[in-house]
Amino acid sequence: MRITSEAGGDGEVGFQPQWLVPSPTRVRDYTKIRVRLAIVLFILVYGVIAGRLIMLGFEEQAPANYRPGAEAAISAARPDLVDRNGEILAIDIRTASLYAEPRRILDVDEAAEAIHSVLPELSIPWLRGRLEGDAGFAWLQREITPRQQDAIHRLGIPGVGFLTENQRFYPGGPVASHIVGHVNVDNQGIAGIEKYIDDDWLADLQQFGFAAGASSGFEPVELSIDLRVQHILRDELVTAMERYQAVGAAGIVLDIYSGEVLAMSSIPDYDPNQPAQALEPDRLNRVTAGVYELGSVFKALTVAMALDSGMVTMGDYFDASRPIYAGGFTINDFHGKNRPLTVPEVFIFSSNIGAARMAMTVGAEGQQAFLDRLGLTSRIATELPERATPLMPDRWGDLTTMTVAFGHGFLTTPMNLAVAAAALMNGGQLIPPTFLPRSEAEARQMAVQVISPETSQLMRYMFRLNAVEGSGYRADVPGYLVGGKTGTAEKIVDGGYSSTAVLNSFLAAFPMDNPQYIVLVIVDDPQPLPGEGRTSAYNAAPIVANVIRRSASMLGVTPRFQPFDYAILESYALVTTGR
Amino acid sequence: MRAVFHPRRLVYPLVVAAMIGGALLTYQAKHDAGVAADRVSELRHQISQEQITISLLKAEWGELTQPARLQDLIARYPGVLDLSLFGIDRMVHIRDLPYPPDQQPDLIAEALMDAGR
Repeated sequence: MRITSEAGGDGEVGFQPQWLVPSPTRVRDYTKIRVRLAIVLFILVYGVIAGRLIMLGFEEQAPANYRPGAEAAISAARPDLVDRNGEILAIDIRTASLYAEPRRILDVDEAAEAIHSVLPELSIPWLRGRLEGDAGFAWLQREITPRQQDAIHRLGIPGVGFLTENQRFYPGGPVASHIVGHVNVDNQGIAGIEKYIDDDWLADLQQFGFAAGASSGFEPVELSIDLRVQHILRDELVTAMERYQAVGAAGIVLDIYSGEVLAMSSIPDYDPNQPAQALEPDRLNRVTAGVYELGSVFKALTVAMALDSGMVTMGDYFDASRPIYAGGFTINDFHGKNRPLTVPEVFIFSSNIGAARMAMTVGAEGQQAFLDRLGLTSRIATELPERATPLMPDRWGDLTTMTVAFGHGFLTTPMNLAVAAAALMNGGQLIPPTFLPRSEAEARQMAVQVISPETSQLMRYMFRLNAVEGSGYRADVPGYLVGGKTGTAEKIVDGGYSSTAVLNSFLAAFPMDNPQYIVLVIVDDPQPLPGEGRTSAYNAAPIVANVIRRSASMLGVTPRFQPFDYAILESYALVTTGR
Repeated sequence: MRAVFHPRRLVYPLVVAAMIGGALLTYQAKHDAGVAADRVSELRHQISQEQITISLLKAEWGELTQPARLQDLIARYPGVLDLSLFGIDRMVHIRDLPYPPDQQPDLIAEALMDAGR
């Protein structure tokens, strides 16, 4: 227990050797210095460690065993596009490409044989040729499947690697090309909704680096279209184009209460998986990017305008017994009745003379104001970037007023017409069309009342009447109460109207006792079938009937077979009483 | 003066032991973290691989179930699939369906019984 007993007599110094401690004062100095040195040293060392730890803590953790590096940024990720039922319209798929770094390959024969075992289409001599030498980089195979990639990965050959990139894939090919659009090689949207989402938000995200990488984590973007209806519409248009040897065909199915586009197609179209086709001028989107003289379907607007102005009632007569001669032109009727016609008669007999006189009753200013109000004179407001601006005559004189009344001398897009027609059917509310889902409540908030609900009601009757009594009977589908208006516009060929080249359209709505959808079909320059006419009733109307017959149940319209067609009974009552 | 056992003498061994222990623990934690990080990155890699596979399968499914393709198949193999266009007259509301013959309610008898009650 006594530790210091031997040294006890030597005083305070204890065990310390004399050579180290020459004098008591110096002993104290050295100890202090040593202790301080040690303290400083330790503080330094631990300081460095602590500092390094903090640095490490703030550093991004480097991924351990896969390389997200530069290749992930080659083409930016995009959200999937799906239709209203969640069916894929566009999706990113990752394609891997196999490359080698010959400089780093240890055993060329072994590597060649191993790769050949997974990719038998690459011959061993060819592989050996690629893998030998001092090159830094050599492609072996572009776009291999994930299974092949996995197999090669498992082989663990040094000096062989993969580059992966996002590739946009459209499983439906051309089915919805004009709506979906397409992307360029860098996976940036350059047409259709692809471009819209880029302009809207995606490009900003990508710029800040949020969208590069294997999986974007984006929620799919839902569109308003229904792939099934879209297919039906396109299928019917393709069939019709062949059947009538037409130059083009286009169609749209529009929800009149929400403004949602359920289907839209323009033939010839293109495959967005091969976007180069899209540049051919013939493949433009005729529905939104083409302007046309749409012909007699415009009479629906003329009649609505006349009734809504209050200057014309259903029972008023318009004299269609003689042609109108104005400004060197003769306005005549195709199926002339040569007698005064009531308003519904002007509509169902599609009288140019009657429509012209009706428009003159309202006047040029009233007509212009009405067309402006229904959005027919301005570029349509919707998501698609490809939109044309309607072309108006330079001078809006009496002749213009009369020709515009039956759809000549004024060029607008089929989409403009469909949207205006929706307003005629839905109680008078103009709703901008959309390719994204929208509820009726949302639509009501942005709707503008453009005609009175009463006028809209009368228009419904006349649409239905025309499908039963008039030129639209080929568009009727038993059970679905289709109503509509034909249009046969003579095309301008070499500066004058052609009697053989026509642009046919059929504007329909159904079911007419409570309309839900507008279906508009345009056929560009159809040839008549043997024994049939060239007019819209022979081609555009049956297409509409087929589209409605095949798609109505998918659109949620239940067929009704009533003992009496109440809508038509009321129409008759209107015609006879002339309210 | 008696030098007794001073507790301070235990401090050094304890500190040394604590340091070794601490170092071991730190190493262990670091090792565990490393293992966990490896596992995380492996799982991440797996997830991204699976996501790639999923999107491929989705794309394939989308392609295989295209209405155009199905229509073409039906037209090409009429005897095999035996599908035809859905007739509009085949579609009725359930309330419009009649009762089966043996369950047909006898409305007249019911009315008589109601009247006699």
